[in-house]
Formats: sequence, C-alpha cells, structure tokens
Amino acid sequence: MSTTHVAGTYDVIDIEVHGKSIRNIANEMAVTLMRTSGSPVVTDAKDFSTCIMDAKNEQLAFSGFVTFHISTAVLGVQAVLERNPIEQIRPGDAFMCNDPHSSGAIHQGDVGIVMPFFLDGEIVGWGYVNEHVLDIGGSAVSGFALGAYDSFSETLAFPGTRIVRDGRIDPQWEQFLATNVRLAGTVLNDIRSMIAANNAGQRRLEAMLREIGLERFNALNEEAKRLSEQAVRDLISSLPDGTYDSTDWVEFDARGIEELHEVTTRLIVDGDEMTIQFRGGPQTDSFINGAKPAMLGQSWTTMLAQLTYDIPVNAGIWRPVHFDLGPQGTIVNASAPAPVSMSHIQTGMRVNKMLNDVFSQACSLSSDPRVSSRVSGQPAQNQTYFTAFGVDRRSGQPVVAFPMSVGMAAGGPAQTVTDGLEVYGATCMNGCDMPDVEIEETSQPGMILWRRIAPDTAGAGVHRGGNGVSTCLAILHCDRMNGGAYTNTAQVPPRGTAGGYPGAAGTWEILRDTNIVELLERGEHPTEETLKGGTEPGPSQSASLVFNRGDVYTVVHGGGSGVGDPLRRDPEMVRKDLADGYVSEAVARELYGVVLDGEGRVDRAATEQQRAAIRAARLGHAPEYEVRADAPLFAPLKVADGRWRCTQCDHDLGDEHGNWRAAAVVRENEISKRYAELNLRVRPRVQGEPVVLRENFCPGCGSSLSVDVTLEGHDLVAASRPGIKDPFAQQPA
Amino acid sequence: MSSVQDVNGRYAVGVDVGGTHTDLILAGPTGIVRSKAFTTHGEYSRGIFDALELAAGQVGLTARELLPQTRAFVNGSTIVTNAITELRGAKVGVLITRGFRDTFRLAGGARRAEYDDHVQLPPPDVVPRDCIEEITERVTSDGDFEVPLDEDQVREAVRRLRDKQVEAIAVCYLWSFRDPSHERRTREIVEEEFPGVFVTLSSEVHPVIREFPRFMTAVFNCLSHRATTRYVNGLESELSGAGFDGALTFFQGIGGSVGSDAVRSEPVTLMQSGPAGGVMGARHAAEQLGLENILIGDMGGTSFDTAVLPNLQPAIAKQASFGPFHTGINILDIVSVGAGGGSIAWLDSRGVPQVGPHSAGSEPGPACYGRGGTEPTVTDANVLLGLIDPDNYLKGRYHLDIDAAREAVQSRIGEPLGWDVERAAAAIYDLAVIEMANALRMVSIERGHHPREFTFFSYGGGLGLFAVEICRRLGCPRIIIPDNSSAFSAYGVLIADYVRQYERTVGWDLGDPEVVNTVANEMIEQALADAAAEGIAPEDVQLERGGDFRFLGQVYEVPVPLPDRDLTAEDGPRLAEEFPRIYERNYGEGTAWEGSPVMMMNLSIRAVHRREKPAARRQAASGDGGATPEPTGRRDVYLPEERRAETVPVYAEASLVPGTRVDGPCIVDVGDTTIYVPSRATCSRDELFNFSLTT
Repeated sequence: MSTTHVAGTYDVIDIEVHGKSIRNIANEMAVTLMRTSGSPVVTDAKDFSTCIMDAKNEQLAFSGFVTFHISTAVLGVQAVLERNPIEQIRPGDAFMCNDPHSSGAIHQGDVGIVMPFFLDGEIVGWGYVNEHVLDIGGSAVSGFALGAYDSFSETLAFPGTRIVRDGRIDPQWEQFLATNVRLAGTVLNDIRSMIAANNAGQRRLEAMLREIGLERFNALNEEAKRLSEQAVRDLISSLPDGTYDSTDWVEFDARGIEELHEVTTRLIVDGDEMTIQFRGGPQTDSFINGAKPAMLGQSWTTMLAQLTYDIPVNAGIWRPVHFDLGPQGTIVNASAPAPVSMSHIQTGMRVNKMLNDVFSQACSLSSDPRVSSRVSGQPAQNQTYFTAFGVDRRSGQPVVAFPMSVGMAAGGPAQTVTDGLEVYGATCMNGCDMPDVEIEETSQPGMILWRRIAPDTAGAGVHRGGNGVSTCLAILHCDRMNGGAYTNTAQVPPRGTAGGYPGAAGTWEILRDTNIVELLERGEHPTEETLKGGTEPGPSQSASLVFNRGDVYTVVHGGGSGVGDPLRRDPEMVRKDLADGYVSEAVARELYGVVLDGEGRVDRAATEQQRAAIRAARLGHAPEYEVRADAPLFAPLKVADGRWRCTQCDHDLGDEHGNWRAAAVVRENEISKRYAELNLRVRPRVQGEPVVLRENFCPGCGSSLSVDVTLEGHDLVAASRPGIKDPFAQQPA
Repeated sequence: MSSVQDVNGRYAVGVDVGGTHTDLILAGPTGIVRSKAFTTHGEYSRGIFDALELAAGQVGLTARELLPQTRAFVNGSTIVTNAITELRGAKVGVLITRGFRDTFRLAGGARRAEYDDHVQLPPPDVVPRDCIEEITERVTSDGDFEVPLDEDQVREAVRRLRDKQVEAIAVCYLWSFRDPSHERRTREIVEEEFPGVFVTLSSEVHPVIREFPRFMTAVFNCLSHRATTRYVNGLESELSGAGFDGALTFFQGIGGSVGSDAVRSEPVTLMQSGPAGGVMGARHAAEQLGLENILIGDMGGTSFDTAVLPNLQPAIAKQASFGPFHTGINILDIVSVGAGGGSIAWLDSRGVPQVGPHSAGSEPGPACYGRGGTEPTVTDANVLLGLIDPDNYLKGRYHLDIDAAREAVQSRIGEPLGWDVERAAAAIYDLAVIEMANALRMVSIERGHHPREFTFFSYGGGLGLFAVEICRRLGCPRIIIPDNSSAFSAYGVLIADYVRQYERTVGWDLGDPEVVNTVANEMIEQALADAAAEGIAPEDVQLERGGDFRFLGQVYEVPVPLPDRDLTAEDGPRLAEEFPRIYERNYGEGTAWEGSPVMMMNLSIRAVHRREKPAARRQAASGDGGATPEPTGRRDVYLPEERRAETVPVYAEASLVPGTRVDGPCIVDVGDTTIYVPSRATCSRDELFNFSLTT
C-alpha cells in the first residue's frame, strides 16, 4: 500500500529532518516535564502529553504517552483564543484549560497548560502540556466526581484562564489553587513543571526559528502535514468502501438504578476519506457523559493503535477523517452543565471498543494482507479504581489513597500476531508502568496481600486476550477513610472479534470488619481462605464509601477479548496456557476443545473428536461441511459474487446487501448464565432487559462467525455493508 | 612502533570478546600492539589465544613465552550480555513471597511506549512457571507485622525444584532489603536440601526498594552463572597452564574490573561490559589530552552507542532495563540506537526514506558484501558515494560488490523517489547522520549539556565517515578519532581500575545520622573485605559515598555525593538546605518541590583502586602543525552534504604524522577504518597519534 510522493519545492529528506526536529522539541518538553515533576502519575503511569501547534493552531508534533490528548491540545488553544483578545497575549503568558465544556479537556483532572510561542513579538506557534494532577478540588479526589449531578459540583474548572505571567505562576492564582485543592504542594509542583516544559519548548522553537527563518519553518510544516495526510488517505483507500456499525452500552448504577445508555458508532469508508458518526440518547446527570474532547481523543487513540501507528501525528492526519457527534445534549456530545469527569473512561472507552469493532469489520474484508492483519479483539478497557482521603494514623498527615497498580491491570486485545498482553491498561495508556508492591505499600495506606493473574478472564480465540489481574489491598494505616470505588465494565463486557469470544467483566468488593489485624498479629499469612469478614451487596459504582482500618479491598480486572474461533487455536498453546495456569481445564475442553493425555500432552485424536463434538453441539447436528485446511484464521466472512460466504467452508450466507446473521445458527443466552459455563465473570442485571450473548455459527461447518453482546429483544446486530454508503442524517454542529 | 615501555617492564593484556571478533591490546616494553581474531562461541578461550598468539608474534614471542611475563590480563566479554538479551542460560528456580508468583509475567507493566498494538507482546518466561514456588512469609514496609518463614514449605519447594533439575535458585521476598533474615534462613535450608546449587538472594545482589528490579537481578544472576563460571574457570586454567601468574580480572558494565571469585558470585555485573570498555578508554585518552568534557560515539554493524562525560565523569544508569525487564544492574549510561553500518534504508508509509532500526547484521550483511543481501544499507551508500574503497575494505580482507550495492539502493530508494543512485545514497548518508545526531542530542542537550562545550570522541569502524557531519548538526566544534580506534573497547578494558559499587536502601528522613552511619560502616567493611580478597590493601581503596535523594512524594532520585566520613547531626539540615539547589542544577530553575520534605532513599559506596596504566605511544609534533603530506592517491567521491561529485585526495595514515594537517574534502585511510573530512573541515594528528578534526 506504499505509494510514494515527491514533494514540490522541498526534498522529502528536508521535510523529514524538519519534522524530526519539531518532534524532538515536543519530546524535550516531555523530558523536562518528567524530570521536573517526579510525580508517580507522570513517571510511572505516564499520564501526560506535550504538543506543538503552529500560528494557525494546527498540530505540528505530539509527544504523548496518553494518546487521547491528540484532541485536547487544539481545542485548548482554540478556547484561549476565544476568551483572550490576541493583542493582549504576551510572551511568558500561559493559560489553564481543564474543562471539557469550555476548554477542550478530556476530563477536569487532566490539566492543560497552553503557552504562546513568540518570535520577535509575533505569535509563531503554541505549546501545550497536559498532565493528570493528583487533585483539582471539588467533590472527589483527582477529579473523579462520581457523586456529582452537574459539572458545577465536579471540580474547579478553568476555561482557558491566564494563570501565568512572564513565565511564572501568578501568586494570586497560586493562593487560590493552594486553598482549593487537596495535596496543594504536589499539585502546584505539577503545574510549575508544566510551565517549565512550555518554557523549554519556547526556547528550543525560538532557537530553531533563528536558524531556519519563519518562512521555511512554515513551508516545511505544510509539507510534513501533507505527507501525513496522504499516508492516512492511502490507508483509508485500502479499506473496502462501505458502512460499518457498532453498538455498545455505557453503565451507571451508583444511584439504585441499573442504567444502560446505548451508544452507536457508524463508520463510512468512502474512497480515501472516512466519516465516523456517534449517536446516543440524551445526556444524563452522572459523570459518564461523553464530551467532544474525549469523543475525538478516544477515536484517535484507537486509530493510532490499530491503523495509523506509523504515521507522524500532525494536523494532516485529521484532514481525511470526518467526525459527526450528532446533536448537542446527548451522551456522545454532552454540553454544560452535564457532568463529564469520566467522559474518557465511561463513554470514551466504549468509543475505543466500538471503533475497534468497525475497523476490524472493515479490515477483515480487505484483500491487502497488511490491512487484514489489523483485525483484533477488543481491549477490556476496564478501569476499576478506588480513591479515598484520610489521615495516616502513624504520622497524623493527610493521605490520599489512589493505588495506580490497581487501575491499569486489565487485559489487552488479542492480535492476529499475538495473544493479548496482561496489564495492558487501556488503549490510551501507552507505556504505563505498574508500580511495584513496595512502592504502593510506601505511598498507600495499607498492605497488598496478593497481585496475580486471574485465570479465565481473557476471551478465547485463535489468539486469546490478555488476562486481567486480581489485587487485594488491606487498609491498615488509616482508622477511617472516605471515598468512592467503581468499575466501568461490570455488565457489558468487551466482545470477541472474527468468531473469537468476549472477555470477563471487572469487579471489586470490600470485605468489612475482617480479622486481618489479628491474623497479622498472630504472624499468620492472610489469604483468601483465612481472611474472614462480611461483604455487603452494592452497586459496581459507589460514590460514598467509608473504609475502616482492617477493611480489605479486592479487585479482579476484566480480560481482553479473543480473535478467531477458539476451535482453531493451536492445541499446544492451549496446553501451555493450562500448564501455566492461565486457563482452566474446563475451558480448555469446553471452549477450545483440547484434551490432554495422562501425562499432560495434547491428545491429538481426542482433541479432534472433542472439537467435532463442539461443532455438532453448536448446530444441534453433525456439520455438513468440513473446515477447509487453508481457511483464514481471522476473517470468517467474505463477500463473493454478491453473496456473503463463510470463508471456512464456503457456505452461502445470503445476499451481500442483507444481514448474514439471518442465515446463521444462533445460540442466545442471558450472559451471566452462559458466562458461568465459560467460567467468565460478569455482573447479572436485576433490572431492565438482560444482557445476552448471541453466538452465531455457520450452518455449514459450525464455525464461530461472531459472538455478539447485546440486549434481550434487540434486533440482529448490524452486519457490515460493503459498497454501501449510508450515513446517519447529518446534524448541524 | 615507538619505544615506549610499560611501567613495569612487563606485559599487560586487554581483551574484548565481541559477538564476531575478539579484539586484543597488548602493552609491553615495545609499546602497544593490537590484534583481532574471530570469536569462538562455545569455547571462547580459543579465540582469545588466537588473538594472543597474533599479538605475541608482533613482539617476537609466542603466547607461551609471553604469558609468564604478563602481570595483568583483563577480560571484557559479551557472555552475560548474550545470556540476558537472548534469555539463554541456566534453568532457574524461584522462591517468592506468597501471593506474588506472577511478578515476572506482570513485569512491572510490560506495555511498551509504542502506538502499534502488534508490538504489545506478553513478556517471555525467564523462569519456567512450574519452577516458581510461593513461600509463606511476610515482612511489612515498616516492620509492624511479621509472618514467620514457613521452613517446611521451603524444604518441600526446594525438593521439587531439585527434582525439576534447576541449576540455580533465586530467593525473592518482599521487603527483604529492609529485613533479609527470611532470605538468609532460606539459603541455609536450600544448602541443606540441595547442596551445591547456586543460590542468589535478592537482598544481597540488589538490596534496594522496588521488588521487580530486585527480583529480576537475582534471576538474571542465576541465569548467567553457568556460562560465566564455565568461562571464568576455563580461562583461569588455560592461562595458568600456559604459565600466567599475574592478575586475571574481568571488566564489568560499570566500567571497572574485578577478580574471578567476585564474578563467579555476581556474574550479572558483567552485563554490557563491551560498550563500557570503550567509554573508559575514551575517558583515559581524554585525560591524557587534558580535555574536560567529552561526548562519545561508537558505531558498529547494527547500532550506534553514545554517552556523555561532563568533567570526564561517566553517568551511571541505575536500575537498567533490558527488553521488558527492569533490573537493579548498574551500568555506564550508554544510549544505543539502531544506526550502524548494516542498518537498512527503507521507505515508510508516507514514502519517506528511513534508516534503521532493522539491520542486515553480519549475515547476509549489506548488499555489497555479496552474501545475498538485497536491502540497501548504510555501508552500501558509503560504497556508492566513494567514501569506502570497495577493493580495500578492512585492509583488503573483503572485496565489496559495488554493483550489488547500486542495485539495492537504486531499486529500493532511488527508483521509487525518481532519484539517481548518488542522490539516493546521499539521502541514506544524511539520515544516518540525523539518527546519530539525535541520539547524541538525547544524551547531551536533553540532559542539560551543550555539545559546543564538548569534544566528540569517535571510534568504531564506520564512524569516521560521519563524525564531522554529526558534529556540525550539534554545534560540537572538535572531534578526536583515537589511535587504536578499531579496538578501542579492548584498550578501555586494558586500562581498567578495580571498581565495585554497593547500594542499600536506607530511607533516611535526614534526621538521626546514625541511621546512615550504621549501614555505611557495614557496607565499607564489606567493600574492604572484598578488596582484600583480591589482594588490595585497605589504604589503597578509595571510597566514594553517595546518596540517592528525592522530595517526599517523588518516584525517582537524584544522586548526591556525601562526605567521606560518618555523618553528623549537622549534615541532615545542611543536605535539606542544599538539595533544592542540586535538584535545580539538574532540572532547571524553579523546579524544586518547594516546601516538600527531602528524603535520602539509597546509600551507595563505590570502592575504587587505581591500577597502573600503560603509556600510549607519543611523538613530539614537528613544525607548526600546518604541514600537509603528499596524498597517496585520489578518489571520485560524491560529497553527500553538497550533493556534487569531486575527485578528492586520499592520505594514508602513515603519512599523517604528528604535526601534519590535511584539509577537506579528502579521505584519510587508516586501514581498518576510514575518515572522511568534508569541505571546510580539517584533520591533524596529535603527538599521541590521535586524529583531531575541526568542523
């Protein structure tokens, strides 16, 4: 798919050298931030990014670990320009942007600092540094305002406010922040670090401009954008034209009602351009709403991980990709005063999964092997956190509980080239580390009793997802703490791809009034067996929890989903997973159809037999056709001569303009029932329509074509519509 | 050779066993000679003796005649680097705190800082999972609770590991750096149940907070012990069998050498010894030249290694990572990027040419090697530009196939871009320059050092062709290409001092100084005992104390030197006051965490014993330094930076004697390496026979 382009006036080498230099400046800003901050949020969780824009507010370079900030930089500068007459902006000014509604932030805890870059009194560009600060005031720690009904009760909000003059933070604002945020010292240090990073950017950019001049600088930037734009166009051209849909549900159950909010994504591929449309119900009164910055940012996150990973990020990549969020005031396009402090993690992470789904559908129909190899399972995108605030009984000092190792321990998506990664975190969390137990036990008010891979949490497939991790933390150093806990994926898990199976959902629980202190005082190891305490049934999201000394918090993260029919996984890989303790024997036998002999080796004949039996059970009779030896592993469907066909046996599945699912053999079960058979965890719904698992099998050979997660009574899950361009009605922005 | 004598009138040998070649430097009464032989994998001492024989021959001796007259034999090798990067070595068993057997698989978070989901791979199992045994025991962060060691469980676990035929056992308990009693008792039990097995305690090999790097260091120590012990024992017996009774020492990644016993118990210290050899060689050469600040570059076949030495002090990378594995191994801080002679040029998805990080390696190698390589490499570009003489590559050891080079560059780069082959080759040259300049930028500018205050030390076969262009991009004014450039690591190994580094986490809040003094004195006692075991008297050991400081709430520390004495009650407040300034010197004004308490996390003791150094050859410069020798030939070169062809003079190394100078554009042919002097640059020879270039 490589097409070559010879630039007009400039040699491509000149353009590339220049592009690398700008990326170096963004990297140096990031290095300055990392070195000056020293905060674990920056150094371990890598929850920050830096970006450089030109005078037109078009992106030139991005140095990001947290990829969703690709959207926030431009929106942040835009907010600054809207609120501040440009003639009043001076060198050394910087502006604070942390409000999704007014200043382009992903959520309020991710604070952006925007600084104009000057040359001889003229604005020649913009610097942007963004970091997740430990707190930004308001009703909950770190901006995760689970209890808020509107954005006013979430956190402090800065709509592009000038807080810096002459390169230093304004003392008035310094006092204001110090008075309004928890852990003021740490938060102000973080803001100073962001200013230092911007100052470094200004110095480096100025030096570059003195060397090459503004005219050459701008001209080379345009060429670099054009190269990135063309590469994205080439990539889109390699996807089959058509319409691809995906639907998911955002969960919220903190207030006694098990809400599920339906969200839909439609991808239209049209030549070398694509349109991504989001639709959803009315915005709601909890922090799950998706605001524009998170919708765009999370879209690019998945684009980068799945498709455009090798194309330098600049304004050019945006040009062939069109976004349509539908009318304002919905859950996918929320406006003030809707609460949005989990915009990125709630609706935003459903965006990741839906885009992964539509891209996988399109890639699987491509004849270009590089493109079809990008089909993948879905990441768990399961964030399960707790945050609390209390006083350390040893020192009398206030302490914030925010164990980061807990939040990032979800499984990654299966790829055509590998099983998924454990501790993948979420797609946006590039390069994040998992803090050591000894570090967590130093900074958190308790002791970690175990941290282990949770078997059977990954979705099955030719390649399976990454398993989730189970962690147990006992509160020991505070007599009492107040806080909240939640998981974003308890009832609607990530679905499998290309016949692969979905992974487990996440869960947490608190064991109350335990015997842990007595056990430890007696010198006994607290384990799942010896720990005694009471559990209270509760929602999966809870805003007002009390933690007492001796309470024990346990989390089991969800796993990534699989890709391809598990019956085609290499039996040797299943044997190894079984020996390593990543899958149980029951799952090996019932889901993968792998049987071992008495010595732990694969019993080939018994495995063949078991796999045949599973195919027969899927159909209710022995299959008519065998799976072709050369059948593809990751693309169960194709369109040929106007007909949908199973690629495994060539069975006809109906007209290409119809939904092939109508021709499939379908097995539908309430998800928690079927999950119990598959040894996977999901929280059953007790209110409203149940979530169901629909397994679609080829009537000819019994292959798994798609395993859908939907609600009972809902229509057939939409099929890809290659060749058809059918956008939702456009809404005025 | 000149008539410079080794200080003792006897010989000293430095050997660097690399992946392909074994380089050797011999210093003796008749000066310094160098030799090169093929590395013999599996039986390294054969390659070493091949090289030794060649060097001995140059001074009119055989190896057997030479060795009894040799006082020091210093050895650098890739054995441990290979074991750890390829994860090939002893079968290791692990005893680990209950609840944490998955620590190695979780790997501190193996998510790479790459966008591409295809590269997010689960980390490989260094220890087979069925050889990881959980043990009931627990020590807590502040010692408020203790779960005693379940000794019966240890016994049973060790028996199972013995039955699984593990060759080494790593003991990995949480908080063991604070209270090592459970790990020590476990070792006693292991020795009872499985006598003779190699045991490493995490609290001994790296008694520092953060369990994953500490455990991983213990596991890597176990993994590399078998090959190391075999190697050390073999070399020891072969050398003594040949009459050697001098000191045999091994060069470590931290830049100094230690004796056989120390290496057998902590093989992991040999990690990355090869690149460290070059750095220490450059440092020594720079000292002799009176230079203060140097940048270092070493270009090999697959990578470009670089380091920065302000005030000639190499930085230490603490807790170095290898692949997805964090460790506590301390090595010299060297940044490596995929830009070597074999690095492949390719077109990315935008149609823009890129160089590296993929390499054609030595097999099939660059297209011009004629061994089936079809991808265009940096070396192919150099041949097409005329910078390398295809008929005289590496002293004529290889004949290069210029047609194969042309075909590769033209078909993969030239044709798709509509360029002629020279322009395509010049583009590859440019991109290699940029990759290397960016790596240098990373170690210098991004760490607060400006290259204009540095001299660039360039060594390794291919770097002489790029050094001037790299330095022009960085504003670095002066380049030294040292004498013995092609075997420079072996030279660094030869002049090694005795160096051992000790570290312990103390978690000092700058209050009671006895917290530090008690630990410091234990560590010093250990350091002096270790030195004595190698025959070094306590008064000959130089001790450097240092602490790793940070503000409370931060994750990473800044090293701060401590006085060479017990700390007093005044030191705490003084350090608290001074630290913000030290921090800002590292990270910039206004960056200190105002109002946050200061902590010293780790204490380090570095024990150094300066060893005698052989002198380099020296010849007083004649004249005013402006004389230009006669060229030995002329060659057509396409000047890559000017995009034009010119016939330039070629000078043989021998004609460029101290005191002479040549002006660019020209080529200096040093036999096993080539120097390209572009227009406006100059190249002269100093009295130590180093090439000195101005940009």
